[in-house]
Amino acid sequence: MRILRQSAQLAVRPPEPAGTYPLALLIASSAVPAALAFAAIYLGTAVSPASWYVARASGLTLYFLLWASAVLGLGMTTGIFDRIGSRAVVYSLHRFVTGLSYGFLSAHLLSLLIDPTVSFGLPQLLVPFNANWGEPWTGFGVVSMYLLAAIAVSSALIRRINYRSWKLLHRLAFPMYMLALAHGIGAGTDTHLGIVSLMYWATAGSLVFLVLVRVLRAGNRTSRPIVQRTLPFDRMSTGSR
Amino acid sequence: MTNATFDPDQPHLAMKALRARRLTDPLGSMGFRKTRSRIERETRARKIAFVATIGLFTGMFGIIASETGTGQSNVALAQEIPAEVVQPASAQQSDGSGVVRSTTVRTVTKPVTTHVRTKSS
Repeated sequence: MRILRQSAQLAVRPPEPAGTYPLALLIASSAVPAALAFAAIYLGTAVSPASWYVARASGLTLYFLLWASAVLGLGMTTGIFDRIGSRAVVYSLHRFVTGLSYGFLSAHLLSLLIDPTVSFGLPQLLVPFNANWGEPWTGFGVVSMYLLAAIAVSSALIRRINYRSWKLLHRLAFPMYMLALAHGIGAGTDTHLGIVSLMYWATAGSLVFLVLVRVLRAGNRTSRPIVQRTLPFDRMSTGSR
Repeated sequence: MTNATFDPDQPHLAMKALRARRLTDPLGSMGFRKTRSRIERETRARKIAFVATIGLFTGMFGIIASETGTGQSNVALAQEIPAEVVQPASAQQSDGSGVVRSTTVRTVTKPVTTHVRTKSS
């Protein structure tokens, strides 16, 4: 009985700070396009352009969150944020920002579904390179979504899969980010805006910089010679304590 | 056994103490211990991130809406057909007085786009 109680205590997860926020955002982001559609039906007005604005704004926010998540992840492995905050907080933010991105992904997809501007149905949203608008850039976005889903599932099952598999799947974050960037630039209708193009340049540049730091540090780590530390003679173990 | 006194004014000693702590308590030196203060910091950071994200979304929405309102309609940009097919159609009308009026109707139709699956897609 005591062992069971102890194991139950161990199974209790530690408190997740502000853990309900991503869930609340996911519900709200799903509710907003639905509310827009119902309001349009009730008032007899067109759902667009409000839904079209939501689709674009949520897409841009989603891209920014994916970038932030990648930067925070690289910040942990490179230790570049160690001077600003502890690595635990950076890890916590990495998880939180990724959680928020699911909400904006949901808002992006649902608002595109109800919006008549590009007339996307479920096949266009779920099957890559199937849309009749903005291909292949739209397809890149769909593939990026699936990669995000694969990373999310692997992270949720981190205790059930081995570390090597998780790490391999987690590295899909880099192609996922590149595809999201290509999708944003190619399919996005706001790339011509100064602030948006500046955001794309700045975010992509910073991520390339961090990847270079990561690669160079990894290279230094592997090329460093293994030093055989020899103990002083008086500290050598004689086998008898 | 020597009793080394720690003087924080001496940076090399502080660095040495930090290195020693990293070796003896790697998790603690990275901030994974001190649960109470860590959770407080995490909560604060997460709330700031949440507010910033909502602010970013609202700001983007505002920029897009205002930019569209100034005349550069992105809805029109989105609906812009890459290759317009203009099909002229003419009709002739007679009003009975012998004058034949010619009317030209220009119909803009969206080209039929069929997705051809290739090896690359």
